[in-house]
Amino acid sequence: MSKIKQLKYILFFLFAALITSCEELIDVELNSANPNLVAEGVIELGEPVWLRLSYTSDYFSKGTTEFYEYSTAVITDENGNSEILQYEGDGLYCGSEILGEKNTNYTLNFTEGKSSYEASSTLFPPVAIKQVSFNKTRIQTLEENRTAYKINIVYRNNPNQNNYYLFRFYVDGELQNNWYSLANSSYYPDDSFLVYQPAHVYFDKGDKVRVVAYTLDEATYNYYSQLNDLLGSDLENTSTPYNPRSNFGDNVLGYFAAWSYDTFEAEVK
Amino acid sequence: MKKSGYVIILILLSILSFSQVQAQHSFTLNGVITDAKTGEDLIGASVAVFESGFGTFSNNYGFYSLTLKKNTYKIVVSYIGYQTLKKEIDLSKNTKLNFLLNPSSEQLSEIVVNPEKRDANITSINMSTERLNIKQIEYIPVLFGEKDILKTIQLLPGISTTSEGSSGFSVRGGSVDQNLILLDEAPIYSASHLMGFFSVFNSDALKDISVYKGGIPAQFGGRISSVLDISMRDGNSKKFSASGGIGLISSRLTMEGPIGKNEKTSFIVSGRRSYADWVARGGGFVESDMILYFYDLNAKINHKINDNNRIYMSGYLGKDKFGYEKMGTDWGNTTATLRWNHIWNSKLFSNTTLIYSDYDYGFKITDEASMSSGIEDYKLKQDFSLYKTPDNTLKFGFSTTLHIFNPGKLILEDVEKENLLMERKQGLESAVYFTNYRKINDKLSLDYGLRLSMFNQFGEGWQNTFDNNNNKTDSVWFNNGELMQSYFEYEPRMSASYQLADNKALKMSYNRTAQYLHLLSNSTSSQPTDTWIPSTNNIKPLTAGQFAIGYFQNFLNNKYEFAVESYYKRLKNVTDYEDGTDILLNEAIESNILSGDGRTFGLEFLLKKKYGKFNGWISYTLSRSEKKIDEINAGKWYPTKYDKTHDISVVTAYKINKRIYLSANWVYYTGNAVTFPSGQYTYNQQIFPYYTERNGYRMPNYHRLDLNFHLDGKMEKRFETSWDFSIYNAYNKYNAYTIIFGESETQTGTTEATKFSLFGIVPSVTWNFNF
Repeated sequence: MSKIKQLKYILFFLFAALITSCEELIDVELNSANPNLVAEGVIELGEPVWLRLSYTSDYFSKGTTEFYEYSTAVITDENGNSEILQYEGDGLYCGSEILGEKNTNYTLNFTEGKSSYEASSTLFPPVAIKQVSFNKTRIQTLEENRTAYKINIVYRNNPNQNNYYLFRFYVDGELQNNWYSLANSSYYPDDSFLVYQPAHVYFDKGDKVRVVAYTLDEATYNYYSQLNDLLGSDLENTSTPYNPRSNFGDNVLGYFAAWSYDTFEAEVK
Repeated sequence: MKKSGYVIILILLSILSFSQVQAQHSFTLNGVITDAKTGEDLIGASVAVFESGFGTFSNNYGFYSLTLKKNTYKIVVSYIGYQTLKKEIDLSKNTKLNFLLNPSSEQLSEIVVNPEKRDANITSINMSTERLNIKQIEYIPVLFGEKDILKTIQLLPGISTTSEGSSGFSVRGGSVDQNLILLDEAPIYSASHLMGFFSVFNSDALKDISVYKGGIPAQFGGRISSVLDISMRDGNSKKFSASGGIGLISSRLTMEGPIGKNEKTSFIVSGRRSYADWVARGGGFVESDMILYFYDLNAKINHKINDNNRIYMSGYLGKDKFGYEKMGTDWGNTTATLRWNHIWNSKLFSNTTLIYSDYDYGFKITDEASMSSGIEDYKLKQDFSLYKTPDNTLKFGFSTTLHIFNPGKLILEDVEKENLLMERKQGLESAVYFTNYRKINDKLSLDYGLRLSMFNQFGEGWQNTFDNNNNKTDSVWFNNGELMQSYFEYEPRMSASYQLADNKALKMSYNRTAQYLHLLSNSTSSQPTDTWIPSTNNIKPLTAGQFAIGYFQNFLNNKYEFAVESYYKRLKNVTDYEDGTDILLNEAIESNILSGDGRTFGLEFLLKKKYGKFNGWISYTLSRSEKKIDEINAGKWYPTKYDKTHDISVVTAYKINKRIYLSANWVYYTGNAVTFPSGQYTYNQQIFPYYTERNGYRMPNYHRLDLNFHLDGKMEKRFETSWDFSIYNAYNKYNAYTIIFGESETQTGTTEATKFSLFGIVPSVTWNFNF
C-alpha cells in the first residue's frame, strides 16, 4: 500500500522534473494564527519520559519559540504506577523514576491553565536488524546524474506483536532525510526475515551509515504517516494539507509516543 | 415510483395524440443534409421557407423534418461555410428530399468561427450552450502545437481550466467529475493524456462539439454541471483521402474513404502517437529505460442500408504508458458505439444506441506486485424525435446503463502473501425523458421536459454502516443481483426565449440534474489515478438545481454577438474528504467522505466577432463556487478548489491572405483557492506548517499570451500542406503551478515558500498534410 503511494509520488516527481521549467523563492503574505498549544512527549525502552510544551508561531517568524512553563504533567503506566514530571526549562518536563518497559501502555496527562489533556501509547519490543547491505544504482534527473547506493535492511518480523516500524538514517551523525521511512508487516504473519528497501534514500561510497529502526504502535505509525503527508502535501495529486491528528485531542498539536529501537551500522563499500 | 411512471406515460401519450390531430392538412418535407464534397452529415444546418423564415435545423445525423401546409415554397438551405442552396418545392404530399451543400469559396478568404446560422444565438432557444466546429479549433494556438478541443472550450465564459496546461475543466464552478463527456454518445471517464497536458480527443477525427453549461436538455443526464457532446466524423464517402501532422512531441495520421462504389459505406481511421520519451531520452534528460508516451485510435464505419435506415459503428482506443521497464503505470479509455438510425415516417426519427465504455489504470510496482482500478459501462439508449410542426418538436426516450466499478486491487505474485481487493461494485442507472419544444408565437419559445432517473446498486457485496468515529457498526452481505440501495430523482428541465427584436433576445432556463457516480480525487485537475465509485448507502446522489437568465444581442448585421448570462446553482450532497484521507485502495473510503451543500453563482459576458478577416471573442466571468460541510472550517461556507473570481479570455485571429493567418489568445484568471499554513511549530526537531482553514488562500493570479502563425502550402497542388508555428506563453511569464512551504535547506530553523512553474515560453512547430 505505501509502496503504491510512493510510486505515485515518484511518477509525479519524474514527470514534473521533465517539464518543470522554474523554481524560485517567493514572498507570500500569510495570516497570523492565534498561538496553538504543541505537545511532544516520548518514552523509550529503558528511559524516562519527557514532554515539551510550546506554542505555534507565525509561519515566517524567526524569533524564539514560546514555551509553556506552568503545567502539571503526570506519567502513568498500565499497572497504576505514576510520576509527576519535573520542569527543566524551555518547556521541557522530565520524569526519572518510571522507565519504559516492553509491552506496556503509558498514559501522559498535563494541564494548561484550566484545561487538561491526556494521551496514551504502547511500547513494543525492538525489531532485530539482522543485516544491512547496499545496491549500486544510478540517479539520473535534470539536476543530477551520478552513481549512488540504495539500502537493503533485513530484519526479523515478529508475528506475535503489532509490526509497525519507523526507519531513520544517519551518516556521520547527520540525519539523512527529513521524511519518515515507514514500514509495516501486517501482510507477513510468520517470523521470517523481511527486507525493507526505502524509496528515495541514497548513499555514497564510503558513507558510514547508522540505521535506527523504531518499533511503534499502530496509532503512532499512523501519526507519522500523517506527518509524511504534510511533508509532501503541497504537490498536486496529494491530499489537502491538514494538521496531523494528535492523541492529546483536537485542540493540541503534537503527539505522545512510546517506542523502542534497534540500531545497526554499516559502511557503503 | 410507479405513480411517476404512469404520469410520464400519460404525458407522452397526450402529446403524441395532440400531434396527430394537429398534423392534418399538412405535408412534411424531410431528408438529410450532407457535405457535397465529402458526404459528411451536416449538424445544425438550417432549412427554412424563404418567404416566412419558418424553418428547422438538421439533427446530429443531418436529418431534418419540416411540416407545412399544402403550398409551393422556396426552401433555403444554409450552413455557415457552405454555399446557400435555394429550391422551389411543390408540397402537395409528404416529400423526401436530401440536400447536398458545397463548401463556400468565401471561407478561403475569411475565418469562419461558428457553423451556426448567423443569428442562431438570437433565434435559438438555447442558452448557456456553445457549439464549436472543428475548424474553429484550428485557429487557436495551444501548448506543444497540439490542437485540443478541451483547451479551446476553456476559453469560453463559465468554463475554466483546472491547472496550467491541463485538459481538465470546471464548468460554472463545478468539479471535473461533474462534466459528462460523450464521444459518439459513449462516456469518457478520463479525458486526459500525459498527466492531463493533452486531451484524449484527436481533433482530426472530430466533427462537432456542443457544450451545455446550463439549460441541459432532458436527453442528457448523469452529471450535474455540464455536458460535452462530441461527434466523430463519418468519413469521406466520395473519395479516399488522408491527412496528418508531424509535431515536436507527437504525430497523427487520418485515413478515410468510401467502401464500395455506391457511396453507401464510408470509414475513417485516425491515430496519434506521442514520443516525448524519445525526445527526453535523446536529450539525455531521463534514463534509457524510461517510458513516457500515449497513443490513441479513432475508427468509424457507417453504412446506409436504405433511405430510412443507417448504421454507424465507432470506437476509440487510447493508452498512456509512463514509468520504467520494471515499474510504471498505464491508463486508458476504450469505447465502442453501435447506432441504428431509423426514419419511421417523415416526422419520426429514432436512434438506437448500444454503448460500451471502459476506463482502467494500473500500476506495476515490481515484478511481484501490481495494482489496477477502473470502471466499465454497458449501455442501451433509445431516442425518438417527433417533428410535429416547425413550431413543435417532441423528443423522448430512455436509457439504461450497467456500471461495473473496480475501485482497486493489489495483486502480489507470491501466493503466500495476501492480496488486497477492493470490493467490486455494480449499479444500474436508468432514465426516461421527454422534452417538448414549442414556439408559442413569433417572439416566445418554450422548451420543457422532464427526466426521471433511477440508480440501483446491486450485489454481490457488503453494505457497511459507520458511526461518527468511522468505526464500522454493521455489515450486511448481498448476493449477486440482489438490490442493495435504490435512489430515484426527478429532473425537470425548462428553457424559454423571448425575442425582443430581430437582433435581441431574453432567455432563461432552469434545470435540475442528478449524479450517481462520484470521483475520488485529491487533485484539482483530472489525474489518471482518480477512482470512480457509485452512490451507496453512505454516499448519497449529488443533485443540483440551476437557474440562469441571459440577454443576447447582435450588432452590425450579425457580425458582432453579445451575450450576458447570470446563473445560480444550488447543490446537495457535495463531497469533500476528512483530513488525511487516502483515496487509493482505501477499503473504508466511504467513511472518510464528508457531504454537505454547495452553491455557485456568477455573471458571464461574451463579445464575439464571428465573420471576416479579423475575428475572435472576448469573454469575462465573475463567479463564486462554495461548499458548506459541517466538519470543515467549522461548518462555514468555504471556496471550492475551482473557485475563480475573475476569468478573462481574449481570442483573436487575422487572415492576412488566403494562405496565411495569425492568431493569438490571452488569458487571465484569479488564482485557485488553496490551503496554505497560517503558522508553524516544531516537532521532532523539524518545523511543520500549522493550518487553520481549508482553501483559505489563493494562488497568485495567472496570465499568459499565446501566438500562432499558420502558413498554407500552394492550393493548386493535390498534396496540400501547411505549417503551424506556435508560441505558448509568449512573454515568458512563470505562472505558479504550485507553492511549497517548508524548512529552508540552507538556513536551518527558517521557513520559506517556493514557487514551482511548469512552463516558460514554449515554441513549437507542426507540419500538416492532406491529400
